[in-house]
Amino acid sequence: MKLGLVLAGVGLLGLMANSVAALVVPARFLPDAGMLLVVAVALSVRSPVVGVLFSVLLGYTTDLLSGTLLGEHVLLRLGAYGLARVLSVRLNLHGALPLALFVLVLSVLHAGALWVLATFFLPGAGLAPDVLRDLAPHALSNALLAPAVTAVVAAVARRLESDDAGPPLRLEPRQFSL
Amino acid sequence: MAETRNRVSLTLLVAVLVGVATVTMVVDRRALRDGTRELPAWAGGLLDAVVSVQQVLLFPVDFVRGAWRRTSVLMDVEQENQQLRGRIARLEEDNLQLREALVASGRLERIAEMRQDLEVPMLPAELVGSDVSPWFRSVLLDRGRGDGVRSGMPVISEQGLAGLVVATSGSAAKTMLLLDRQTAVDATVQRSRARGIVRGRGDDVLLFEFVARGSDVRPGDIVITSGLDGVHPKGLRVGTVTAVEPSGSKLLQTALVAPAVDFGRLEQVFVMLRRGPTLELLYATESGDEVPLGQTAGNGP
Repeated sequence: MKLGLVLAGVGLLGLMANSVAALVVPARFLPDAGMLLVVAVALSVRSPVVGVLFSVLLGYTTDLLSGTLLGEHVLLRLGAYGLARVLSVRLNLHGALPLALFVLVLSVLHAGALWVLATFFLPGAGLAPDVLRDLAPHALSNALLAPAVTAVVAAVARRLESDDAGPPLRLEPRQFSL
Repeated sequence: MAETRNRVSLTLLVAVLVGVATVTMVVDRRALRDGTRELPAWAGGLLDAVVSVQQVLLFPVDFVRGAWRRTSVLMDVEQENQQLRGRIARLEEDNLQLREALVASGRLERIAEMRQDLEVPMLPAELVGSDVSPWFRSVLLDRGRGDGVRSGMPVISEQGLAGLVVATSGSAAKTMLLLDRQTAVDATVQRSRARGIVRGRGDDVLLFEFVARGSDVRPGDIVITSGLDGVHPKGLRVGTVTAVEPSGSKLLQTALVAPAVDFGRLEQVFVMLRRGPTLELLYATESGDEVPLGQTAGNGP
């Protein structure tokens, strides 16, 4: 419970900082805080329910802070969470380099998925003609920042997951007397 | 057994959440197309909370930006002063000539009477956030339904047309900028009166589509709103034509337009709270009901 609330707070604050920073720095040079946090949670938090609900919260908030339809980023965040969770079972994504590479590929997939959704739901909207000009710096900044974000979330999760579990139970075996 | 039950529960939860997200997308898309997009209470509440925190986060950004602006203004002030003096002199001369012409035609008094009716109330608003996705161009304003802002209201800056309000909460409004690919504005070339549609491309350039035959569009031409889309009042500056692409054998020709508004430095804007009376009359239905603002165009195809 405590872990979920702290993660929600950190996630919302990250998105708000991202939105304010986009007023000064073009968004293509900024990392996608929502995506990085969702990947970090997928790799660091044991409970999949916390991860799924966290992805939905960040998805809806991103939609409120973006020109997308309400629900579009929810699908993308859930997809990113699922992919990171499934791949982390088969591959070791905990090293900085594999994680950065994974996030680089995920950023490209994310742009592609957004294009598909926009084409289907909002004809005319979607990616700009010179998409590579925007995609390359965006994906690179995501990849560079992913290991640091994951390390921070992992540290928070380690701390709070043990808190949530409570003190270790010390049950004495019952003694029966006849 | 317990593990299987957990997996089934999780799969069900994800399926329900995906279903809910898809439904909200469809509902939101319909509301956007109809021009009746108001955020649901839970989303509006979340947006209000987010915006109030963003206003706090904006303080240090504003401080740095203000200091930088003051420094650069001080450096340019002398040159700008000279340019402005020259411009004022030219405008005074133009004004005098126009007054003379109006007096000569006996219309000055009538225009003075009409002015009060024609003035559209403007609400100043600050930008408190920008789009977090590099693929969309929208901004968040610190004024919402509580201040009278509604979906479909045009947003302008002192340089020209900036965008359109597309969603509102109690104290915030999401505005789609002119640069976004979902934006379409009915526009006219000021010099030749050639009409067409200005569309955002998602980058810093606009696209002006017009019928190739009989249209006279040249680089340097100023593009303004035509007022015929029922959303934007006539005469708002949209941008300047920078290049005209050859039409070939196509019916539609396109021109690239540099937006009048410097979107990189946009900090304060004005929301036009209603259309002028001439437009209200133009778009009133036969039964006398007014077409809701934003219903006819402006939100893209």
